[in-house]
Order: sequence, then structure tokens, then C-alpha cells
Amino acid sequence: MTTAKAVCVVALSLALSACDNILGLKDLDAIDDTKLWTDPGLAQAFISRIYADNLPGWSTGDANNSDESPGGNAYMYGLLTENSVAYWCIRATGCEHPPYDRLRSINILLADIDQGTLDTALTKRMKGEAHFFRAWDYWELVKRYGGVPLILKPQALTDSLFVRRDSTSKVIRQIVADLDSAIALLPAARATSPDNNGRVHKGTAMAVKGRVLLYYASPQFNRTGDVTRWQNAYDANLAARDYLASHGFGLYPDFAGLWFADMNKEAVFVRRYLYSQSAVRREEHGEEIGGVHRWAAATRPLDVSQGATGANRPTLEMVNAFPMWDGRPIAGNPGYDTLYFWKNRDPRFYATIAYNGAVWELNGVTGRRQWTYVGAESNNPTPSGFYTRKAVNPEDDAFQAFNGQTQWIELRYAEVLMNLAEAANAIGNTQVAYDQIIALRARARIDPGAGLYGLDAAMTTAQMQAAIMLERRIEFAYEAKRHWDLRRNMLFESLLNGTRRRALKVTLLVPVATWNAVRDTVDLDSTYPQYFSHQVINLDPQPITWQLNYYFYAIPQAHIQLNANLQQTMGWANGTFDPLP
Amino acid sequence: MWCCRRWFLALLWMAVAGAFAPHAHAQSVTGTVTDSVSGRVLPLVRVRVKGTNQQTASDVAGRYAVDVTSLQDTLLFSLIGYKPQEVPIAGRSEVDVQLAVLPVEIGGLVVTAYRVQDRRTVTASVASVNGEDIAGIPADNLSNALAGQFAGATITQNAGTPGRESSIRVRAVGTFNTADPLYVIDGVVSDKFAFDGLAAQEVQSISILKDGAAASLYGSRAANGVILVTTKRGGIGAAEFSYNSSVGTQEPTRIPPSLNAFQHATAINNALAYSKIPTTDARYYTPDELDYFKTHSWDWIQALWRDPMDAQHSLNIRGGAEGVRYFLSGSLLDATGSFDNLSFKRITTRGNLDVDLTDRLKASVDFSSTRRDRHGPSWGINASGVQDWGQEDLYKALALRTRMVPPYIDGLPVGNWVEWHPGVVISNESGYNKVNWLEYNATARLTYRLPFVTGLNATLAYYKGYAEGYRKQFNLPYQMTVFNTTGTHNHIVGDQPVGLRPRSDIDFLLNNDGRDNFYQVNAQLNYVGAVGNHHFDGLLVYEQAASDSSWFEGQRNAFISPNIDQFVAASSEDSWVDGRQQQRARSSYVGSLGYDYARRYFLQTSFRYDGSVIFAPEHRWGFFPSISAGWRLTDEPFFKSKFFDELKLRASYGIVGNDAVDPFQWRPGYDFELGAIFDSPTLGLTPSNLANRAITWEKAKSYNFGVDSRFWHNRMSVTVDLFYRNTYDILGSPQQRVPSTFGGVLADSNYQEIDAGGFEVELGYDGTAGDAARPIRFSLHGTLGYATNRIVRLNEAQNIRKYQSRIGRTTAPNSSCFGYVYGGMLRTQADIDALPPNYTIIGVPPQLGMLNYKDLRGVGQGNDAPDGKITSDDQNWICDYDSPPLSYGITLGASWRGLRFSALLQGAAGFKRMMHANGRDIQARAEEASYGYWADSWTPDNPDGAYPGYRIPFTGGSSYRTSYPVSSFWLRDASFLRLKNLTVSYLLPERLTNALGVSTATLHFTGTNLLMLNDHFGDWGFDPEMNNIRSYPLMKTFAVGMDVSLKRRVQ
Repeated sequence: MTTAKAVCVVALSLALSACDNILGLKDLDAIDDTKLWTDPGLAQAFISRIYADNLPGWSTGDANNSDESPGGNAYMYGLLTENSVAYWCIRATGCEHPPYDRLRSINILLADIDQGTLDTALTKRMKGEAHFFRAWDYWELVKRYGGVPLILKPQALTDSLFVRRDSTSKVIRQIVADLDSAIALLPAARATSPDNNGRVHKGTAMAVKGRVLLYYASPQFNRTGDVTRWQNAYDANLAARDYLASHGFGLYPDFAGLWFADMNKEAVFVRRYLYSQSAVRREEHGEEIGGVHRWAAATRPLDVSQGATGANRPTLEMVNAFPMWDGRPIAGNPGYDTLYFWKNRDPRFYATIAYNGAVWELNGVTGRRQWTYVGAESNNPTPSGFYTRKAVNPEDDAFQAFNGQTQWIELRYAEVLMNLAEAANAIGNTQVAYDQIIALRARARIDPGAGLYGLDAAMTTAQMQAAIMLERRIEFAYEAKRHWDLRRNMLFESLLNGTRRRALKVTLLVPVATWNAVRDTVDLDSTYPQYFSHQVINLDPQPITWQLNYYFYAIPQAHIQLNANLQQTMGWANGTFDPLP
Repeated sequence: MWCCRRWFLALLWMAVAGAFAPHAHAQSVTGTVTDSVSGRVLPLVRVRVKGTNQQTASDVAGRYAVDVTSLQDTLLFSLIGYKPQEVPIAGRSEVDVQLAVLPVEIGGLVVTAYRVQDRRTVTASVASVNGEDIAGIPADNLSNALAGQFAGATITQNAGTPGRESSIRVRAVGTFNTADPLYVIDGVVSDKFAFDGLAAQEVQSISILKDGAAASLYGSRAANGVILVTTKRGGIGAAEFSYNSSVGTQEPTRIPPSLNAFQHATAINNALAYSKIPTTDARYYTPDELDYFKTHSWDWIQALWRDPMDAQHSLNIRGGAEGVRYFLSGSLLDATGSFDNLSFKRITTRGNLDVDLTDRLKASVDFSSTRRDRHGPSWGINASGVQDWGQEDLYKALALRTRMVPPYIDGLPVGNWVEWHPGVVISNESGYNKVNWLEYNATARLTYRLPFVTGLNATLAYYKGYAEGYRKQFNLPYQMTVFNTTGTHNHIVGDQPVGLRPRSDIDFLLNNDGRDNFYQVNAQLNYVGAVGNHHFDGLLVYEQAASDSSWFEGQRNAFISPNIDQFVAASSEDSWVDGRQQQRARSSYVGSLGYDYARRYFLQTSFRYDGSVIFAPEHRWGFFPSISAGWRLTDEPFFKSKFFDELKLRASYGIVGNDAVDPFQWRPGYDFELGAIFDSPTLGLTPSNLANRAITWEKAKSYNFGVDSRFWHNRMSVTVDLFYRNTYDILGSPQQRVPSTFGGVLADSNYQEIDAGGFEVELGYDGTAGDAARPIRFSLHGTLGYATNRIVRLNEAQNIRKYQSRIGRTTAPNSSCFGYVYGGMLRTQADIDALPPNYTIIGVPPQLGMLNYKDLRGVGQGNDAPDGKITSDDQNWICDYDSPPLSYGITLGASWRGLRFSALLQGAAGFKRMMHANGRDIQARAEEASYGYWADSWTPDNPDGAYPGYRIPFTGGSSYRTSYPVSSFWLRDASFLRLKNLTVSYLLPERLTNALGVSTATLHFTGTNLLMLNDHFGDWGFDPEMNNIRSYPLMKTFAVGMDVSLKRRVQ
């Protein structure tokens, strides 16, 4: 009896004394907040996540919202609603990293880093990076919606949280101020040196500032044509161009290959990708990663792809926009033949467009040709008769295309030149504009002719502006630039409204069996009409009807529900916020 | 082949069992004990030889055998709840006995929290079921066998995947967090996964504690009810072997049809025409192609489906002698899947041993283990599927597979139009995915009857559990064959191979190993005492539990050969590992005090004081008290009723808690995630949720009022319970209460509130008919539960429009009940012309064939008048319940001699189901078809179609499908009534069993989900009990089996 009793008593007292200890557990893989700004490893991990959240990447949807590709119905047919443009998204609807969540992390860094013990150079660099990405985040918001609330410190729940929208000009001023801070704080990086590894540097910030000021000078924001904005854009882009050039940046000699040479001299603002099973696996565990992208899977013909439904199918308009090898447009060009339309074109045409019969050695298959005639493809064939081949690495197989590792160059040196050209032209300095376009055409290996590479001599400002838009359309095709160029120059109504995007329907004229016997060896450059005929068909079932209020999109209702002080943009239901001042 | 293997195994078991065939003994008496009214056999009846120590107990078949010194002895039969009986043997060797239920004692013992109670004294709301009632149902999962057995528990099986469990909800859902009840197995807090690992044959009883008073002893996590499982234990008597086996097969109750080849091709043409694409476009199916598809359509499901089979075997040995009692059990479940190369196996073992060390000290040692193995295909496209082993994904993929392409031509998998091939995946050519789960549990328990104070016991129990999950996935690329195409637009697949289409997912080997170590210590004091008519009981428990779990996984890619699935055979270049570890702990103090006067007036109070590691130290402890009272009127002198045998009123009030939220939300900190890629991938850190130090338990005040009655000579019983529960401090994210510009993710806070209420009724009738000597006994039992709730307080946005608010509504409708109000289909131009100018439907101008909705209000706060167009602000709450508030079950039983029949009807009512997005979707691409009902969709030629037409302009690229938004058009009454179980069993006559050398033998047939008696989903083609149209179908099962028991006679 006594032994048993003792057992009970001992066990009870042991248990009672143990209980406080057993509840003293902690989250084994979480970091205590006191350690972050004293440990360089942790601090760098923090900024690395800011990069991962904020770096722009490949976008397969942008081409649909312009004359590059069919689709984009909501934008093109005037069907956008107050909730359609949900770039400013909300966690409740499954968005992993809404803009203001990303901004909060940035603001935490800027508010707290000076209280830590990190060394000066690291602190300076990280603050520069934070300023850069804060500017970038607000820029992505303001170009869509106009002014948004400026939140510049990590708010506490006790702060007055129900903020109002700040004016567009105030947000732009803040963006420029942040970029100026970034320019002052960020280290320099020489192109193709080891310290240019995908981080932003002084030159990146200067180039982005140039882009921001160019947009701000453009009609979308600058309805009155305020010349000082163009002057500011010119100054910023000139400074960026000169700075980058002095640090080894420039045009990469191979237009087609610039995507595949990682961190080449043209890559100013880059997101890098790397396939790793580890990252894929962690993604399955619920983490959002950006280790790979699906650009090639969506862009390649679906017969040689997987896990994608197709994107970036070039319209006939886009195909016809490319000039001939002499830089002159196809219209009225004696070298141009509508049936042999691929002959003698700007070399950038061959780097961008795959047409019926084009040699496209996908999956690394030597001599593989792309057939786009009716019935040639089994799996969701291109409706336009063309494919985009830009940045699609032919060596990849379908799996590698689905797990793309091609670097995304958000801003390449060529754009700095074109931004400079546009601003220079607007302030009357047409020659600078000529110089930049010629630089691009020379790199593209267009025939120089008398030195103008096919450009008209002595263009007016307006003619030059049109030439610049054309050059951007060709040079940056499918790089998610065209939609934004049309929008900031308010060209949707004049260029696209009332029109329909078109396709080239290619019909095989001989029996399939006959064709199959010769298809791999036939010389299409001389016998094409024996086998094929062309017909131009519409891709748009109805005319394009872009709406005027799309130059500043509506703020999705969800945000206004959370905060009655947020005004809707004018032009939309209940809209009272003027995005122009 | 399958069948043969199963039967062979069965025969083997019998051979083994045969070795223990009884030896004849001159001085032994056998017999069967049955209930005098219902005729049910009574197990566990204690049989003593009067004047000796010789005793035994009846087995599951009510059979007993006892050795006597003389055939003139007298036997004493006793069982709690029954009138003891003395029966002189009078020279017989076979003595059958019928025991009468004591008029005032109903139902015997009930297992409640931390103890076993006499049913009469229970004042809380407890429902229970005996193992025998479910052991005969051939469910491959314990939870599936419980459907319709309990009032107040909603048990639904959302998909019929073999091995897939049902979800169990007790009463109305009272939280926005997990509504799973707490599972307690033999006193150890456990989980659903362990519960589902039990074999029905090792279960003695299952109780569900429904109200606050019953559950508050498990206070902290008992807000959603408690499910208590007790496993079988030994009893004094000769060793008794019982062997149960069954073999069953399954077939889907319904598989929703998809469009056949011709309908599919026509649908694509309609979509193209609808989008004004010229008919010269190559995507059109030309008349010759349409003609071909009229007679050529390939049903992939039919080609690849195999009706699953399963076999179950269990062997129990139970017995004991003075001082030692034992129960040993082993079971095997072996199931095939609905496609080749899928299988599920479960092996359980259990040994429960009780030893009386001294007069006062008793020791128990229990061991149990469960092993579950799943084998399935590997999915390169989606490497997960640990839980559903690919079967459901395969079914989904096949359900809408295009019928315009044959799966195979000349044995080659066809790669035209399709990106991947389910047939190849099923064949294991793309690799495999195996998962094993292993669990070992051991409990040691000492019970000491303290001296000096009669009725005081001390118990010390230590439980240790270990669980491991191991997964091995080997993934391989494969190739499909592309065939030539014919037809004007090349839409017909020919029979000439023209190329290969690789599915080049990477080849890899993945191992994942997760383990969980768990212990629980209980120190417990029990007291039961009486002074005259004053009865007292008391309970004091200290309980402590902790777990440490971790997982680790690794992978290597690029294998040298597909034949070697070992890490050494792969490059280490792209290999990686990952893992996590976490720890949890709790400690609790539990107590209760009960008093009754003359078994007439009852009062019971209890408390639990719980500490959880999930909360900050100062908010960690929660106190959960309860009080309940009961009054048995039938024992009152003034209550003289010939009619009532039992009438008891019960009332209870208790507070229970819930802490099912993410732990450590009170600590500020940062979490690891992946960072950006510079020259190589980097690690990232992201702020954790904004800490809330004040976070603590959510609590529920639970009220219950009940009546238990038995009348008409115990033939009828009625139990009624009414309940109300107010759950407050419900944990939830207050994110909706801060603007999106705040940017931080807030930790949960205690804010929300839900009221819930309802009632439960259990009715029983047992009767006899016919020849008094061999009566037909029949019974009718019904359970009905109604439960509803209302949101009182909710984290909602400040500027939300009134119609969007969920406050005042039930929790049942989530987003599937928020949508547009159907306002007719635009069938003719006249319909469109009648619309206001500039009318748009969710941004799209009206077009023929579209669904139109009711214009309820304008866009933006304050615009409450219709605005002449349909916008997201025209949505509304269109149903109150998407899960059943009312569920019921009716059990019909009848027996005559050895023949028994029982049928369970299960029903649910009062709720609606929204067609899932997959079914609101019409496809216009070759690879995937739409569901069959879309054949009757609107076209210019079929303006009266029941379903809408293709809506979005077809411009290639990605817009080849139309998904209609949630609207009342897609809403249906989901009530149903089905024949859930049907069992027929036959107890072989003694002549035959004697000849076979066994004590009893029963043959049985059981079917589940045999008949749908009433529902509204016929034309949609799926079962209303399923989550959605794409879920793996619910299965009909048919099983035959036998139970054999024999008893070894002691010489």
C-alpha cells in the first residue's frame, strides 16, 4: 500500500513541477525579431525576400492587351469593370503579396535598420535597395491608378489607418525622391562584372528614374504638354545613358541572343531564374517562388509544349510592322512580296516571328520547321498563323520550357536609348533621337544605306515621335512594353479603336500525303505558291473599343470596402478622385 | 485472381482456427443468452456456478460454456441493467437463458469522460453505440460505418475513394476554425487519423459527448464535441476465438456523363459560330468529321475503370482466468483501387492485458499498432497527392477526357490533342508513389484501490505513441504516339503513327519521412461512496501531454536507368533536402463532483483548467466549468405510472473551449521563405503575422435540456435533447477591419461570436410477433437531429454594403451561396431588345444564349436602386445552408431464429448545393469535354435549351472556356434519402456448427449506398452527398462475409 501511494504522490508532484517547463516551447524555425538587424545573414535574407517579392518578371498576358496578339477582350472591347484591374490585389482573394504588404516590409527595413549594428556599407546598400523598390512599387501603382495613399513607415494598429489617396503628382515626387535616395546610396556596378549579379545598382535606379519621368511627361499624365516634364525626362535619361555607358553597359551585339547570355551588358534591371527541385518542392508546400517561369511553355506551339494554353500569338499587324532589311517599311517596298513576305526583312523579324515553314529548331531538333497551315497542328493551333520566338530557347525540351530559366530583362540598355530619344525629340533635339534609333538599327544589322538605316531624313517632331513608337514596337515586341506605350501616349483610340486585329490563314494546296513526302526537303523560298495560299482573316470578332476612362483604372471595390476614405477614380462608378493633378 | 487470393486467405484462417477445435467434455454446459424482449444475443453476461468460483462470460454471439462438477448445479447469470437470474441445470448440457431488462435500468453502461457511468445517472447529452452494431458493416474506414448511427452527429462521405474517411461534425458548427470534434481513444487524446486506423472489430463502444457538461472535462478542445472510443478488453472465462471476414466489391453510385465525341465537336462548332469566326476556320469540325464522330466515341473512364474490391479479416482472442484478462486482436484490410495499380492495405494489431497484482492493485498494459500502405501512380505534373494517392486526380482527369480520341491505337497510347495520358500514368510507366504509415502505441496503467476510504481509487497511466509516415515517389518521363489525322480539317485520328510526343517531366526519386512522438501522463483519483441514499462521486485528474514531430525529405534527379529506383543511381548534382520540426505541449487539471439522492435527484459539477503552448504565458490557461442536474421522475413515490418505465429530465450548462489556430501568433518574428536568385538561389525572411499577445482560447457556453424515457413495458424509448450554444471570443483574423494599405498580416484575435441551437430525437421500438416459442422480433430505431446557427459578431470590412454582410446569417453558406439571382435566359432577340439601353451583364453586352440576372442595385456604397446593368453589386445571399441542418437515420431490424435483417435509411434535408465551377464551365477545346447536360445548351437551333450557350468571344489564345458565375440558376435542393446500409445475416444452426467444430458461425451480406430513394441531382448525374461534380464518386459496396467463433474448453 505505501509503495503504491508513494508512486502516486511522486508521479503527481513530478508532473506538477514539470508542467511549467513543458509549456515553455517555441517555434523552432522562426526568427526572433530582436536579432534581425544585428545579424548580417538574417538582414540579407530579409532584403533578398524584398527582391523576390518586388522584382518584375515574365508576363504572358500583356501582349493580348495591345495590337501584338489577339485576346485581351476585357480591355479591347470595353468590358472592364471597377474590379477588373486587380494589380492592387488583396490577400483575402488569394493574392500572396499585395503591393502594400511588400511596401510594409520595405518600410520596416527603412525604419529599423539604423537601430541595428550592421556595418555601414551593408546598411547603405540595403537602404538604397529599399528606396529603389519602394519607388518601383509606387510606380507600378500610379501608372495604373493614378495617385494612391503614400505610406512611408510601418504603421502601428494605433495609427490613423483610414488614409486618403495622395495626388498623382505627390506620389510621383515621392517616387523620384526615393529613386534619388537610391541613386545616392546604391553601389556602382560595372556590366559583366561579378558584382553585377542581379541586384539593382546605381545605374538601375537612374534608368528607372528616366522611364518614370518619360511616362510622367507623356500625354496620359501630361495632358497640357508641360515641357518641363520632358526636360526632366531628358535630363534623367541622358544621365542614365552616360552613367551606364561609362560603366560598361551598352547594346549586346546579338539581338536574338541577348536573353540567353545571363547578365550581359544590356541587362540593366533583371530578374534571374534558376530551376531547382528544391524551390519547386517548397512551392508545393505553399510558398510562392519565382524560381522558374512559364514564358516559353505558353509561347511555344502547344504540340511541343506542356502545361500551358498558349500566348503571344503574333497578329498580322505585328508581322507587317517589321521593316525590310533596308529599314524601309514594307508598304511600297519593291523587295516585298505578300506571298514571300518573310524574305529580306529586318533581322529582328527572324528573331521575333515564326511563320509557316520557318526553320525553328525547337527541342534541339536540327532542321525542324514550323508549320502553321490549317491542319498542321493538332493541339490548339495558333489562330493567327504565327508564333513568337523571341526569348524562346530552341534547345529546351517541353519540360525545360515549362520550367523556364531565361532571365527577364525588365529594362535593357536599348530602352534607355529609346527613352532618351523620345524625350530629346519632345524638347526639339531631333538629332539625339536619330542617333539612338540608328544605334539600335545598327545593332540589328539593318542595311545602313546612306547612314540613316532606312529612316526618313529631316523628320518633324511628330514624324520622329511616330518613328520612335514604331522602333519601340519592333525592338521591344512581346516584352510587355507595347500596351503601356499605347496607353501613356493615349494611342488606343486613334490607332486601334474601330479596327480588328487580323491573322494570316495559310491553306495547304496539295493532298496531305503528297505534302508529307516533300515537306522536310522542299525549298519554300522558290516554290511556296505551289503548296500554299494565303487569306487574311479577322481575329477580332468585333471592332476594338478601348474606353477613355482606361487611362486611369478603377481601384477595386474591396479596398474601398475596407476604407471608406479611399475615393474611386473619376470616370468610374462613384468616382470623385481626379488622377491628373 | 483477386477473389481467389482472398478466399485462399480466408481458408487459411479457417485452417488455423480449426486447430483450436473444441474437445468434448462430459461435464460442461453451453447455451445462448438473449434479451427477453428484443431477442438480441447478449455478450459479456457473467455466468457463475452457484457455490463455486467457476465462472465465465458470454461471447459476442451470446454463447457461453462453463465447466460444472455436476449437471445438478445451478447457474447464476448477471449483466448490468438486467435482472439477475438463477437457472438450475437440471441435467441439461444446453441451457439457453433469456434475461429481462430491469424496469428501471436502461442501456447499461456508458463511457463518458474519464470514467464509465451507469446510463441512469448520466445527466449530460451523450450518444453511444456498441462495437457490435458497426462491426458487420464492411466500411474500410471506421468513420464511414458510423453514418446514421448517432443523433446529433452529421457524418458525410464527400467522396468514395477507398480508404477515404467521412467527416464527422457534432451538432451545429460553432466556429470559423476547425470544427473537428476531439478524438479520445482509451483515454488518450488522439486524432481523426488514428481513429480511422481502428478496425471495427476491436472497438467495444463509441460515445459522443455532445453538450458542455459532458465535454467540459475535455474543456480546452471540446467545443466541437468529443468522440470517445473504448477498445475491447478481456473477461474471465475460457479463451474465445472469433474470426470475421468479408469480401466486397464496389461500384460507383453515379458517374456524371460527359459529352460524347459528336456532342463535343458540335459544342466547339457552336462556340466558334457564336464568336462569329468564319466557318472556313480550321478549328471547325466539318460535316464529314461530325459524321465520323457520330459513330466513333471513346469513353476513357469505361476503358480504364476497374470496380474496386476489398477483403477484410480479423481474428480476436479474448479470455482470462482469475487475476489475468486479455484481449488480442489482429485485422487485415486489403483493397484495390478503381484503376489498375492502385491499392490500400491496413493491418492492425492490439493486445489489452489486465492483471490483478494484489487485491488492491491492478495493472493494465495495452499495445496496439496500425500499418497503412498506399500504392498509386506518380504524377510529374503534380508531385503531391500524399493523401489521395492519385486516384481522385486520375478520376478527375478521365471524367472530362475528350471522347474524340481513342486512348490506345494498336496498344500505343495516343498523343494527339492531349498533353498527357492517364492510361500511361495508371500503367505505372510514369513511376509510382507509395506511402506507408506506421503507428505504435503503448499504455501502462496502474489502478490502486486505496485502503481506509472505501470507494477511492488512484490511477496512474502513461501513454506513449509513435507514428511514422514514409513516402517514396519515383517519377519517369514517358512517350505517347502521335497518329496521322484525316478529315477535312484533320480532326480525325488515323492509325498511322507519325511521331512521338514525349511527356518529359523530369525523372526523380523523392523520399519523405515524417515522424511524430507523443506521450500523455494521467494521474487520477476517483471516489464513489454512499451514505444511505446519498451517493457521492468525485474525480481529480492531472494530465500532461507533449509531442515532437518532424519531417525530412530528399530528392535526386536524372536517373541512370528507369530500372533502379535508388538514390545511388542518380546524379547528386540537383539533389536537395528539406525538413521541419515542431513541438507542442499541454497540461491540464480536471475535477468533478457528483451527488445523487436515491438515484432520483442528480447534481454533477466539473471543471478543467488547461494550459496551451499556443498562447502567451499570461493568456495560456483557460478554466472550463460545468454543472448539470437530473431528475428521475419514475422513482418518485407520487409518480405512479403503469405506462412509463423510465422518465428522466436532464439539464446542463458548461463552458468549453477551442484553440485550433496557428500557434505562436503572440510572438513577433520572421519566417524563412525563399529569396531572390542572384548567382544562386538565396534564402529570404519575411515578417510573420503581426503579433497579438492577447490571443487566448475561444469559448462556448453550452446549454442542454433533455428527456430520457422508456415506456410500454420497455418496448418504446424516446430521448429528446434541446441545445443552445453561444461561442464567443472566436479566433479569427481581423484583417477585414484594417485598410489594405496597412500591409501587415494580422494575427488572429478573439472577437467573433456565433449562436447555435437545435434539437435531437431518438426513438426506439422493439416488439415481437408470431409464434411465442419462435417469435419474430423486430425493431425500429430512429434518430433525427436539427442544428442551426447564426453569426452574431464577425470581422467584416467597415465600408461593406449591407447586403454583403454575413452577420445574422448562418455560417453554412460560404462563397458558394453568394451570387447572382437568376433572371431568365436571353433566348431570342426580343429578350435582348427588352433590356434597358447600354445594358451589360458583368461587363459584357447582352448576347443570345446568356444567362441574365436580376438587377438589384447599383455600384458603390449608397447606390441601392437598380442601375440598368448587372454588376458584382447585384449579387446576394442566395441560400442559407450548403450543408444539411437536418439529418436523420432510420434503422429497421427484424430477426427470426438465426436470421437477422437490418436496414439503415439515411437522410439529410434543408440545404442546397451550388454547382461547382467545374460544372458551370463549358469547354470549347479538343482535349477536354464538358459534362453531358451541356448537350442541351442554347444555340440558335436550340433556343429552348436548358443550359446557356457559349458566352465569351472566341479569339483563340486562352479564352476557350466559359465559366458561369455563381447564381441561383445553378442552385439545387440537395436533400436526399438513401438506403445507407442493408445487412442480412444468418446464424448457422447448432447442428451445423457442431458438425463444423465451432461454437457459432454467422454468414452475412451487407450492402452500402445501395439505393437512392429521393434526390434532385439525377440529371446532373452525381450524388448530392458528394462535394462537387468532379469529386471521386461515392461507391455502392456489396460484401459477403462470415463470423466464426469458438471456445477452447478448459480440461
